[in-house]
Amino acid sequence: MFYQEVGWFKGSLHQLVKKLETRSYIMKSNPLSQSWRACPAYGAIDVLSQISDCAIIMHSPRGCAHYNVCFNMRVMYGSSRSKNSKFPLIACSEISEDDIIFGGINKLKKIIIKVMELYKPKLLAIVSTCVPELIGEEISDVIFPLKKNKIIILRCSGFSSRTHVDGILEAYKKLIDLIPEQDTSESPYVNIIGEKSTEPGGEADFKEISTLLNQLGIKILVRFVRSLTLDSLLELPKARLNIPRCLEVAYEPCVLMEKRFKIPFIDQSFPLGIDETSRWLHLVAEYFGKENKALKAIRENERKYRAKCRSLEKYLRGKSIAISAGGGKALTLVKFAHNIGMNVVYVGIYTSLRGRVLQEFISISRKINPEIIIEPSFYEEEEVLQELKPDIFISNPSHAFIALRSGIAYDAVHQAPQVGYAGTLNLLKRWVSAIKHPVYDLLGLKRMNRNVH
Amino acid sequence: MSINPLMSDALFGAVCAAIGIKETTTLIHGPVGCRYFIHSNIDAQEMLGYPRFILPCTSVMETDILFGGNIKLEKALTKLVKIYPSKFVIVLMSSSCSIIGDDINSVVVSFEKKYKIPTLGVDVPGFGGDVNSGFTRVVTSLLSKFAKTSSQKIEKSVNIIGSMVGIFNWKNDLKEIKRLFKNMGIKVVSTICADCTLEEIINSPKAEINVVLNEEFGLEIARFMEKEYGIPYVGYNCFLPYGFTSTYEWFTSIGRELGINVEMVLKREEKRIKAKIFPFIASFGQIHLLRNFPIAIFGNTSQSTGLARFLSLELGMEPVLFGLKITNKHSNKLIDTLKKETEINPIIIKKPDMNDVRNSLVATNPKIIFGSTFERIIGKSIGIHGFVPFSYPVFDKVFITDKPYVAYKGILTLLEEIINIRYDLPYYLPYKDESS
Repeated sequence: MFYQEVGWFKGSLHQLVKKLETRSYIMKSNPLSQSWRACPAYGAIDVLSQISDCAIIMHSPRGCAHYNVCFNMRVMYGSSRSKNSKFPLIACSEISEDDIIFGGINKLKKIIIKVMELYKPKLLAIVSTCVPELIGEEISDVIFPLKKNKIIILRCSGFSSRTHVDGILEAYKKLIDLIPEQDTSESPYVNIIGEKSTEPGGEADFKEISTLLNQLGIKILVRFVRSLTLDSLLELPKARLNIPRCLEVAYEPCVLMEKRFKIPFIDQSFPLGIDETSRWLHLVAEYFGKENKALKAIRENERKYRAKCRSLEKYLRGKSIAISAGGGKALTLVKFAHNIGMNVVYVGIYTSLRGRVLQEFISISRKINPEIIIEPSFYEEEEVLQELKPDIFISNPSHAFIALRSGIAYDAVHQAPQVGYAGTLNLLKRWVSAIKHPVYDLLGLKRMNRNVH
Repeated sequence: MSINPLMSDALFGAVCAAIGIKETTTLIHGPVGCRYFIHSNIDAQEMLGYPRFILPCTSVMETDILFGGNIKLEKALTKLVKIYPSKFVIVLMSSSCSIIGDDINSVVVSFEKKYKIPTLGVDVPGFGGDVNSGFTRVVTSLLSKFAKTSSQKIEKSVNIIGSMVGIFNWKNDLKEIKRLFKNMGIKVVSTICADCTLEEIINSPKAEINVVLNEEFGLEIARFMEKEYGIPYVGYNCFLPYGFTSTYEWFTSIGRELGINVEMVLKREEKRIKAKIFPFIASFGQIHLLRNFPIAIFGNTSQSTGLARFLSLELGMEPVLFGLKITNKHSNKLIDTLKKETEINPIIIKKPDMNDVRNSLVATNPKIIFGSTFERIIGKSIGIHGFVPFSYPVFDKVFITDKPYVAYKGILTLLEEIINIRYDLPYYLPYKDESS
């Protein structure tokens, strides 16, 4: 069975699966939503901002562009940007009240001309948001005289979708459409698919993965889409294998590229956990006939990391954990926690649960049955945490307050590296440290679980 | 139209006004993106966190656009009272629902009747104007609905208007001004929509005068209150209280209006602060190191001109660039006065976007930027490393201690920041080559 998407839901994982199996699940949205999900425009810009010679024009009120600029600015200070990445160009037509009545196309034309003259971008991406979509602006008419340039239009009204993931996927599809087909047969390269530009620690994760691939003698050709130019993006079909960063956003483009460019892909997110990483290395090596190199790399890495990880796993075994993250990340963490013997009591999914990730959750429901909230709001998560009293809560930093208020040890979901061997060790260290040295002691808050030490 | 816009729109100002009222729950009637962005932007600067800052939204979807979002809004409000017991509820309608014409007022009225909770609904789409227009729209709607007209005035009392959540360091600034008012025997009835209660807003017409703190955010509201409640207003069309001179002028003008002699308090404060800073500006000729130091200031006009006056008139620094993110009716006059007083001749850019900021910084090459994280990033990219956080948005510096920028304590904060930055630029000599 294949389910497309699950929106707002509260219950156990088994209850969700049963609802899906009996086709009694009805798609809903929380009328009092505080879930940590953005609109498709954000998703689209998350992708497009990574192409250094792409100019993004938002056809929107000023605020929409401003917030996206702010977001990019904030991640400049995090570890999610590569050191040499430029600040993205996000122009805005600044739709005002008059434009609602008379149309904002002229403003859009003007800003397109200004951007073209000032920056001469190789790619122009026009992101249409709620307001122009509602008043029915004909954007394709504006770009008709500019047909010789590479232009893409993305329709990203906030009300048309549940999450920013749709915007990410829309941008991926438009970019894939731009790429001409090429021969891939004997190339020694792989592409990395689906790194999110605003994900803190993205660069550290990438570094760990590229180190592992280096050990196999495999090179990375294109990071789709991160820190690149349009020309390098067009090289993408020359790779022999696509490796997804996160299945949530990478699965669909990988399927599309398999059809279009005949590039196979690994049906798995970046690995976490010693055994999982070893399996992943072996899987990648098989595509290139480098199994011997993989065995050597696995042996060396396991010798270096396994003992250290085991001692930390021992401490965590039997402890209860609550995880709240985007679908793909949550899936990886849930699998990892379960594999090291932790008791997963709660899973929150910020975005809707869909496609490949949803299938994986259905599969894992044979082994575990945590409480699950899809598109959780603060109050829903606080309630469930106070009821379940986990030993540790892993979530987006904005939800840290909930854990600390409830006297539950906390760690942020994105603490890179958290892929591969080094990432596994890093994550285990952090989780152990979070339980042993919880901040709520500093704040004088009451510990929820007294028996954790 | 702009490239990488530095300021937000009306909905942002409206949310800032709403969350400035204590024990109030703000609900956005719109798609999830509006909530997500505003919440994360405000929280990244203000560090309020859950549950001090909750900003739920009705999560409007395509079906709501087709059939209207009123039913969803009703459900949201019913749920809201159960989950977040509030003394006051504000519903802000964003662009999408505004265009389809959802009738929030009818929902709000029936909700108020049923639950007996004072509630305000404001149609404030992002396309409706600048940040200050959104702020003003919420405050005037609030006053129109709830404020009680009163002929009985509280003697020697004021409302402070124009401080807003989101203005960098607003809380510390307000605290310093309230401290000085208290020392002067001036009662603050309400700091409208900046850390006040609904009761204070209801009682705000009892104030003798209104004090406008930031003209961009406060003047329209002060005019509205003069028209509706006959309250005169002061504090606008002059330099904000940064540094000794402006602080003295600003407070004495308020004292004059209230018929209070505030001179003694001001002199006492001045003496105390001067004694404290003296060794720091005298030792090793610190003040000499600041002279002719080229600086750029980015912020609202009233804040920027006030700060520039202190830095140039009293410290001898040289503002070479003004980036006025929000202007007011008296911008030109204030700048002209400043130019005459201090003989500075800065480049002035109004409502700049990132492109303008970059070009003007390259052209003027200041050594310290007073501005937001935006200007800091651009400055760094062209080798300008001196930075003092001054205007929204600041995502890379926090003040945990009470460090206002305005009035007397503000002088200490600013001097401390500037002198420390000056130490980071030891090889820069601000002497001009007069021969060239």
